[in-house]
Parts: sequence; C-alpha cells; structure tokens
Amino acid sequence: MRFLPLGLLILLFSACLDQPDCLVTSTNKAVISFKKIGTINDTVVTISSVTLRGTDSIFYRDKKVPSVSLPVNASATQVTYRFNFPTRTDTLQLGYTPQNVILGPECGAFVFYTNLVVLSTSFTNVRIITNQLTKGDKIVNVEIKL
Amino acid sequence: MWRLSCSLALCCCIIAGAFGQQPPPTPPPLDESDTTEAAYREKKPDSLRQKFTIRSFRFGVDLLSVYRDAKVPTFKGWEVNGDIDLGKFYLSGDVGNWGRTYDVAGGGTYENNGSYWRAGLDLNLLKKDPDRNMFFLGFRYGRATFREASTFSVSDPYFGDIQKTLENEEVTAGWGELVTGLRVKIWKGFWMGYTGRMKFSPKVTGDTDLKTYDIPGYGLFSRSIYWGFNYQVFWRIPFKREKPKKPLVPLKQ
Repeated sequence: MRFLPLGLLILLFSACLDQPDCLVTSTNKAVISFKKIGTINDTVVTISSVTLRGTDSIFYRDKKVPSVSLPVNASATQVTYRFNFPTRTDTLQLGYTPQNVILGPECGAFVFYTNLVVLSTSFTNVRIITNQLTKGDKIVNVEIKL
Repeated sequence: MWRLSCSLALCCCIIAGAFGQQPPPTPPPLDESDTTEAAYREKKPDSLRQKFTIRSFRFGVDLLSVYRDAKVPTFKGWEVNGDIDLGKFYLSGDVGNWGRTYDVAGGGTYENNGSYWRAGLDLNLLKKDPDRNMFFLGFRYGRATFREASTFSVSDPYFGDIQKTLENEEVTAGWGELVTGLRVKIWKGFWMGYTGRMKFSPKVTGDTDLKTYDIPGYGLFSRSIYWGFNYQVFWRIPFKREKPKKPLVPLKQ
C-alpha cells in the first residue's frame, strides 16, 4: 500500500505515450474474385472490359485475371459495374455505407466503407466474403461463381 | 486490452485491500452492575462507525482546465467540481464544458463543443484524520451532449475530388471512470487536491454523418481507456457547526 500512490501516478503519466497511430487500413477498392462452380481456387477469366456507371472510366481492357479491384464512390452509397466478357455481359450493383472517420490531426480524415451488400446482379451466383473494404493482399470482398 | 486488464486488477487490489481489513473484535456485553471507568469507556460510540449524515458541501474549480483554456489553442473549456461529505463516503459531481478545434492533415478541420457531467461516490481511506483530509478511491458515471463538425476532401481519380462537410448536430456519450486522488485542507475552508481518472467504455449515439472523434469530458473516442487528471481548489461549507477537538486525557490508574 505504501507504493500505491506512486504506481497510480505512473499509470496516469503513461497516457502521455498514448499518441494516435496513423495506420490507415481503409481503401475505396472492392476486390471481386471469380471462381468456377464446384471449385475453391480462383479461376482466371478473360475480361473484355469493366465499366463504371456514372463515369467514362474503363478498367481491365482485354485482360485475363482471377480477380478485379474496382473503386466505389465516396459521395454515394451504391455503385454499378458492367462486366463485358467475350461472350456475355453482366452487371453487379453493390451497396455500402461510407463512414467518415478522423484518425487524428496529424493523420487526416478518411472514408471507411462498410456494410457491403449486393443490391442487384445478373450473375447467377454472387456472395459477399468481406463486407468492409480494407487494404490487404488476401482480402476478397465479393465472390462470383461462373 | 492488456492495459485495461492491468488497471482493473490494480484497482481491485486497492479496493480489496481497503475492505479486506479484519473488523475489530466485538466487545463482550456490558454488565450493568459494573460501574468501573473502563466499562463506561466501552459505551462511547465507535468513531470509525460513522453515520450517513451530511456534514459539509465542498465546491471548487479545476485549475488545469483554466490553464488549458488560456494556453492551449485547440482547447476551450472549464470544469467545476463538488462533493458532499457523508462521513466515510462522499457524493461527488463534476460539470464542465469542452470545445476542441483542430486543423486536420490534408487541409481539413474538426471542431466539437458541448457540456458534460460526472457523478459518483468516493471512499475516503483516511478514516482517522482529524481535519478530514482525503485519500480516496471512487467511481463516476460520465455523460456528455455535444455537436461536432468536420470538413475535408477526398481525392479520387475516377469520381473526382469530393469536398465533405459533415456535422453531427446532437451527439450523446456515456462512459465510466475509476478515480483516485487527494483532498487536503490548506486553511480554514480552503482545500486543494487532485483527481486521477481512468475513463473507460465510451458509448456514443447520434454520430450519423461523422464517426465521433473527441468526446467532451472523456477524450478520444477511439481509445477504450483514456486517462484524465484534475488539479482542483475547493471551498468547504460545513452544514453543522463542528465541535472543537477535545484534548486526550490519560486514564486514571
């Protein structure tokens, strides 16, 4: 009990070391992977192009890829992608909640995207794997089975 | 999480130490026929067993808030404190106002402003001090109502630059605190003291547009534990006239 006040003071002053970390994990890219029905590994698909409704941007023109990374709009709550394959065209509409977060005066302000859902799609088999957009090599947000 | 566990364990040890003392042995029942002085001395009330009577009211101001208001450009605020002496326990309360203004990296701004209060109970561990000086442990429940606003921009190569102007009109927050500190009588009714606070478990409602960054009276919402410190001056008003202390008289042999 004699050293109790000293211990409490040390605990109190440990707050001085409690500076915020500028660890930004947010991204505005949704990762969409492709799989063949009945397989667990990613399937390389040939994409003629992917377009984003509301913009004139074209992504993945004539590419063979197992997955695509596509942006979402920070000032909206939904986005529609149009996938042009050599033999067919499909659409995917995703909904999300943009969450405005201030990490700190030194770190800045960022938008985190959560509650990712499929609003509508012409694909037959689509599921959400991770409903928050975060940075990471193995992050997959949406899985499409072809 | 590790810090929370250590802090809670430490506080539990302190409280257990304070309450874990053995009670004094119960004196044997008095024999009415025994008229010796020793027997009459046993009849005196136990000074440690104090009644819950209101003895005094003490009010004060937090000097650190006054200093921060004057010297820290990002802070505007004040805090007043008070407690009611119930003997071993003290009913304590704080009321304050808190405003922050930050420039955020990337050309943004953040500001909040609101009021808060805390209420709780303190246990005085200095049971026998004749001046009723305090070394106390206690707990508080804190609540804040505030507004916050921020502007910042998001650069996007596909959707263009987006300027965000966000405001949470009415946010409420609640949290708990474990507190410890000292109150020392300086002169007559003038007292000084400090309070250290371990604030924990903040909960916020109403942060619809912008995730709450700073809670008045608490601090950064992103921290599940936040530390606070007050250095206070008080004036004590006794509710009943306090009897002068009698000098101790040695017992006759």
